[in-house]
Amino acid sequence: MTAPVAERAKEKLSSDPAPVAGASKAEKLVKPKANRPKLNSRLYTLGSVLVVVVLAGLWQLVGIIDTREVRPGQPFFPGWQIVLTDTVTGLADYWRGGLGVESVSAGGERTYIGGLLAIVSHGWDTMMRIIAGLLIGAVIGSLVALVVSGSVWGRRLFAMPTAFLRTFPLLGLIPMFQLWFGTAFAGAVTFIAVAVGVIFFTGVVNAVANVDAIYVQNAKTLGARPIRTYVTVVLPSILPEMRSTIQLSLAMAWTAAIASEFVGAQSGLGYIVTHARYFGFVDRMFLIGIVVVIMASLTYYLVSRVTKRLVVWMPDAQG
Amino acid sequence: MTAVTENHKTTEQVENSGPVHGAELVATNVNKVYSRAGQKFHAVEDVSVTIKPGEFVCIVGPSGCGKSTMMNMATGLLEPTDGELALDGEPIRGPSPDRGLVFQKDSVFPWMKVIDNVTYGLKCRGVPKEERMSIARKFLAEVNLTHVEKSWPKELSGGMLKRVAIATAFSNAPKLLLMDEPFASVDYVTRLQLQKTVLDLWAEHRLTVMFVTHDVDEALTLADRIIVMTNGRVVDDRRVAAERPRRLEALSTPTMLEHKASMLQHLGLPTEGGA
Amino acid sequence: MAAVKAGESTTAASEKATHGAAPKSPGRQNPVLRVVKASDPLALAGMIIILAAWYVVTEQGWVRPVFLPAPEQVFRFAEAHFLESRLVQTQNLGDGGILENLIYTTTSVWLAVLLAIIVAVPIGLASARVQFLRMFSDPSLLTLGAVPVLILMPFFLVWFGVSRNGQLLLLVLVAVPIIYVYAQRAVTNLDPVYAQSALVLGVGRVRLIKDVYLRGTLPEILGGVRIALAGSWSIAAIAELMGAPQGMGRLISTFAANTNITGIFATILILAIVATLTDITLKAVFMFANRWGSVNK
Repeated sequence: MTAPVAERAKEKLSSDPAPVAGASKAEKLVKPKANRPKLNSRLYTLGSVLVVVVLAGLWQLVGIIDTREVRPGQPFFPGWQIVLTDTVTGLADYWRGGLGVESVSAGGERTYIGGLLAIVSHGWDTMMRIIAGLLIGAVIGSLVALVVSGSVWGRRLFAMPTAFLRTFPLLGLIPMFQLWFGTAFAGAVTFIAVAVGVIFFTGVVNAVANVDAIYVQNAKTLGARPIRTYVTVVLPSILPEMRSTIQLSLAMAWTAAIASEFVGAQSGLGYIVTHARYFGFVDRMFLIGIVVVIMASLTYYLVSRVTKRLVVWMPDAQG
Repeated sequence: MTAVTENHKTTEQVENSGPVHGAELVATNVNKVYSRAGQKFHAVEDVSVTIKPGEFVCIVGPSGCGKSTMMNMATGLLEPTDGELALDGEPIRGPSPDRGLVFQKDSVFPWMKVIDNVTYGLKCRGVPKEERMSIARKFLAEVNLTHVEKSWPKELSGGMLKRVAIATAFSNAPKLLLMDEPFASVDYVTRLQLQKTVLDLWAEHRLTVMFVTHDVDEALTLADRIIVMTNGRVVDDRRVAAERPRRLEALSTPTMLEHKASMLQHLGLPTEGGA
Repeated sequence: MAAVKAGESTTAASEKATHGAAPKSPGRQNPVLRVVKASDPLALAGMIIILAAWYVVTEQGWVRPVFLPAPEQVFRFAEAHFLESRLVQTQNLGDGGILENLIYTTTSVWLAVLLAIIVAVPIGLASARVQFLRMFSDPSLLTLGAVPVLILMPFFLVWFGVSRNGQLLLLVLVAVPIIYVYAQRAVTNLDPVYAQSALVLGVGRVRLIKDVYLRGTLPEILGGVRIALAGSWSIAAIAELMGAPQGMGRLISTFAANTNITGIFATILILAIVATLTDITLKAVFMFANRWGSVNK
């Protein structure tokens, strides 16, 4: 029998049959894979590398072409030769001393190690605020949402406030939070927690509303009481949807942290950027900006890996 | 079965009326090879057939036998790796309104109302509005859908969507109508009704029809001629001379059962003890 | 919809055929009416409960006005300073009042989202089909969507000075990745059979893009626009807080400098109401664009 062989070959093909003949425009549409084309990871990596190289090169180029200065000695577009040398040592200004490296204000020298310590310590501050804010916001936001969505009445009552919260310009309220909770750790964390909490709240309420009634009915016909139904049916069914909520809240936590550090905080990466801006140190802003982008991407990657298992049982799981 | 008795035209009345509008499709040594990661797969292997103008031909075969590839090449959505397909002597290059296609999936645009779907092909070819509306209305009437012309496709049942697709294809006045397992996903009764609709339209407009199916009974109900394909090759090519219309009983005549048994054998089914 | 689509069998069809009545279309209703109808009186009750709670805690003196001003105080402030306000004028925030600043911020947000649509939709649609484009657009735009773009605002302030440009650019950069992802996914979700069908019917390239790709993806794109817009108000406010010639964020920062809590509340609430109204309008547009389909958002 040759049929099974052909069948298997066909199966392989349907995943990606690249026709031998020059593929016409119409032909591309007929390929079954056109239904859900995904970028293969090699191309993605290659593209990423090229994009980074081009952007880095463009930055250097702009710095060469446009030689304006914010103030004497401080260029608008500091090239890499500055950012990777003087900038790092300059950041030692933000090191508060300790670990055998004296702070600059106490008469210490500007060293690479001092600069790196400054980046690490302020990055740590930012990170701690984000983690604390995320955890508190996620727990409280989800709990409130679960209580509200526990009954049809609650869901209906809170539909409009939830819609209102979705578009509420919360970031504009930072000054309020600083008046309420101060500009130190507590103020920033509360602010991040509220921002994250709002996302979790709306996310969970929506997810619960989207649970297919058939599962709930099925549980009920099997004799499950309301609370058991909630715990064994509703909660597991909203988990896959929570993945995007978690990713969204992470992005929001970063934005809220940076925002609160821009306005009033006394430490953290955002604080360095604001401080550097007052003195026209674009190079310091730039280096810290890159640190933020790298750290944010890393946390995003980690969270997206960890939360992947939330959706593994879904028939249409997307990586 | 109200819809069937309601149909004012019966097949007997219109059979062989009017001039033949269909074109002749000639396939000469057609090959289609797919390759992936160095592995080659012959989807269609050296197929040569001639389909006469006005003929109703069914292509039967199991999934993966190359019949859909054959169909896509006739449409112009795929190009043969080797060999040539020609319609009335003109080589087939890319899709053209001369060759209509009814898809297996629902291809009716959900974002256009029924009437806009049926007139769409005409609109693309620059037919003036009044003319295309009257053509579309005529075909919508022929498939019994006049009452839904202003509806959105989502409001129609699966069978009705197929009728819209058929009306759309016929409105475009193709010389060759290709049908790619069009009724595979509708229920049995609806399928019988749709088969009748297609036969009525075919008899009236006398175009050439190439109909792909995996259902031997469907082929016997519809075709003048049945081509059986397995593994990319034509393994059987027969005429079905039975009178039309072929009702359900017509499928159980000795000749038909003979056809069926022999085709099933070609499809790889041992028929000794079974039927 | 499910009710209309009911049986796949043509019994339903033939029934309709005999009666000759067109099925009642839910899509034929006025979309604004549908939004109103879809809203629930209880939802309004939820809003009233929250307002009542706010009233009670301030009235009873459970929260000091320095932390939370009374609702009527906020309302009176908003009323007094809406059209014309010395407070606003002396801070060099325009010749009018809150309204003028509201218009400034709203213009920025709408304009930025419009620009983002112009940029992101073509790239998003094309990237679903053109791998060469996607290998660059995916890494750059998905990263842009994952990192806090706000970090760029201080740079814009240095490079462009205190002007609208920096805020606009920031808002565009926030909105582009969202709309891009939605546009790309819309094409991916669009069954290729529609494009094939159009080709077989004899369409040209322009019609294929216009009648199939754009029309078939419009609802999903609008869903993305709605999400981008919802997030933009926050970003606009913080951008203005950091430096802008005018705008609601600037108002908040000046009120904060004078610890005018009532002013902050009035400003943020007015902005929130405009944001919500914009969202409701866009939802109506979305429902109209999606009257043929079943994308639920």
